[in-house]
Amino acid sequence: MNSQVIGLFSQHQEAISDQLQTTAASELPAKTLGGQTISSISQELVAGLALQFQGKPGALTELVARLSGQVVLAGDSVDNLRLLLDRMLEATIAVLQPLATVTPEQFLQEIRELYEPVDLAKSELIRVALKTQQEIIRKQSRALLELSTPVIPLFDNILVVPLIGSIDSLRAKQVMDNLLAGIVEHKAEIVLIDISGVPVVDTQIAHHIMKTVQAARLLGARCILVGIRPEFAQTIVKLGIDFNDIVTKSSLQAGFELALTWDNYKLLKIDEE
Amino acid sequence: MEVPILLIDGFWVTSIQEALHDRSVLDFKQRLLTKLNQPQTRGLVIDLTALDIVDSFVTKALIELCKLADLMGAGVVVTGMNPAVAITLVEMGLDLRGIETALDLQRGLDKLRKLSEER
Repeated sequence: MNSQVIGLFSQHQEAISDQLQTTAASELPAKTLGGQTISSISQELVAGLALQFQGKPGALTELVARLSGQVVLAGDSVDNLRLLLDRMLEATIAVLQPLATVTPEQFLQEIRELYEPVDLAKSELIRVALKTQQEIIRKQSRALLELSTPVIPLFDNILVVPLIGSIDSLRAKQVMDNLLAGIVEHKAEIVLIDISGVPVVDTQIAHHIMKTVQAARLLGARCILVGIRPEFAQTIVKLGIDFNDIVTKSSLQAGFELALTWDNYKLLKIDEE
Repeated sequence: MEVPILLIDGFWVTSIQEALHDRSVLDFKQRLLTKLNQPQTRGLVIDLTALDIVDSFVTKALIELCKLADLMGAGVVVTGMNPAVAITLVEMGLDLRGIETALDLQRGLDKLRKLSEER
């Protein structure tokens, strides 16, 4: 029971697609969207809408879901894709109105049938875009966690763990896990924890550091806390945190020198005569 | 199965393989004390390499063993602790400062040798 408008739509797909491409070219500054040219997307969209009425309901939704993911992954705005969907309906009206033989009221009634799949596709577009974005965020935060807690073997039995950026309990746990795994892997006896890259220190962070040091000690490794800035020292004293069990040094160099003496090494400067 | 307690160069070496139960702990403690009482005793190594997880009971037993050995005049080193075990012990908030540790058996023995020379 296809109405006249739908029939016309199927017949004049190419004209509509051309019309859409012209509008899109004038409105959108970019030539491509999600790595695909806008004209090819336009063609696909029109074809997808036509398929809706040829016994494949959901064709447009599927197509838009795929395009939406593609666009988000490429870092483009999905707004442009939504705009294309809107412009497709406008192009349809512009092309079909002069051809339709039904009354204007009847034409409006029939054209509404085209709106429904487009609306569905639009909500799918938003849903997929959001989902893809969330996935990207999750992946990035995981990568960030991995990147931000390195464990570096520096010398025979000596590891360095630079802490950079603010530390929350999730990162603190990551640091502890990485550090302990590093101790086991590298058979380290001394760990230098460099906190010069941590902007602010509160009781929570101090507590995490203490726990990490204790856990490392249980594995038989001694920790030296280095990179203590004056503000850090002031905070620790002001908060009344007991750091007596932890060996601290102001700089990485001082810590490394101490670690070498613990490790029975001696630094010698060779005189050039 | 009985936990083996082996003697090497005057150091007793014992490896805890699985979670200890009330009775096995009592029995183990008794056997350990008898061994430590022997005149050739220089120290004790408790190896936890095979232990993946601990509960509060095993932890308490471990601390007690260390204190007992210390009282008997033998130095104690706990070796081969798993990261997960270390985290558990720290999360329990126990005071483990008195316990000497080492990464593996070899280093534990080296440490114990040094300790017994100092004593």
